[in-house]
Amino acid sequence: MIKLPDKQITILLLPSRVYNESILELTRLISEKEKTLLYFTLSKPVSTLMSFMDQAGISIKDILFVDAITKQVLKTPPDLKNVVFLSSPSALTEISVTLSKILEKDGGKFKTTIFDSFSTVLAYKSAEDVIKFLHFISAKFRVLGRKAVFVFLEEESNESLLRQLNLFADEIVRVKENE
Amino acid sequence: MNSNDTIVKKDSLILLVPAEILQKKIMETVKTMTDAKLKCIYVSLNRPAENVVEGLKKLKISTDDVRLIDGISVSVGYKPVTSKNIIFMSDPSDLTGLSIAIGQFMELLKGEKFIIFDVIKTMLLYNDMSTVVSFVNTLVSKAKEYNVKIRVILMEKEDKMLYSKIKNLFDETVELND
Repeated sequence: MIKLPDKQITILLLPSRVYNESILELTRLISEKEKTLLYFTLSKPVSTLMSFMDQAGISIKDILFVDAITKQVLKTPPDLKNVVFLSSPSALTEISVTLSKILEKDGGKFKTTIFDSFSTVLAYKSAEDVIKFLHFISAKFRVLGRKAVFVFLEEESNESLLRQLNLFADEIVRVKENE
Repeated sequence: MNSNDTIVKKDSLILLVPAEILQKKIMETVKTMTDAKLKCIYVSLNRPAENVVEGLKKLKISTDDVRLIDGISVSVGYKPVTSKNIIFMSDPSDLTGLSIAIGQFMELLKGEKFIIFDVIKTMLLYNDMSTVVSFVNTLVSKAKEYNVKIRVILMEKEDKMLYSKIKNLFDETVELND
């Protein structure tokens, strides 16, 4: 069962079988409590994600999406009001710059950011690059006093990587299939 | 000598900790040392100084005798305010700046004291192994020269390579478990 993360930097480890329902539940919990949410989608195009959320009865009007996947398949992405499109999940500098621009100018609006799923980046970058990047942006969230949830798919992650995430995460939450 | 005595009394120690309880053990080590009236030079390469101070306060550790070197905040855009208790480094790869900052606090902070790293592994994200080993070697020598105790915390499974290269520089290794 997904609970509302109460720590500043959370790693959420999901088995693929419960991934969709867990991510929707997490979104519901955060957006209902905080009214707003910043959502980086690194594995699903935003249109698919919005459709899933709509079917689950989650209001998306106060969610700002950053989509790093659609531009890989569509040269010209659709013109959507609450979506920022990035070139690729491997464009870590672009992700970092976009995150900074949003959080430094939102007047504290987005208290929590979800990265779904960060393990996608492992398909493009080495574990070392991923750790370095997470080290950097975790500090960014701490300095700005915001929360972040980095979702990892269990099947795409290895134990050594996960243990090293303890360097900067406050909590690693492992969701079990039968929970 | 029990492990708390060893932690307090030895000059230079490596503390091997399971990754899952890393932060908890770092703070507990600071608590053990400061309860024994040692002053602390805390090098944080992962967490902004503000977060470290919160963690210290949670364990009721007085921050009066703690000096912080924050190696991360400036690199993510934080504009530091001047403080006599905190030195902000430009970025975590700046080992020269770190060495200078440690030297400043070694001289300015009077009384018996120790340096603790949270955590040295982070240096390997920005520097190669030989540079980090060389830095640790210089630091341990400097600590001896200034009669400052030094505590380096390593993850027991992930830092085996680094451990094998620096263990001989230290008096002892202590394994900390829950």
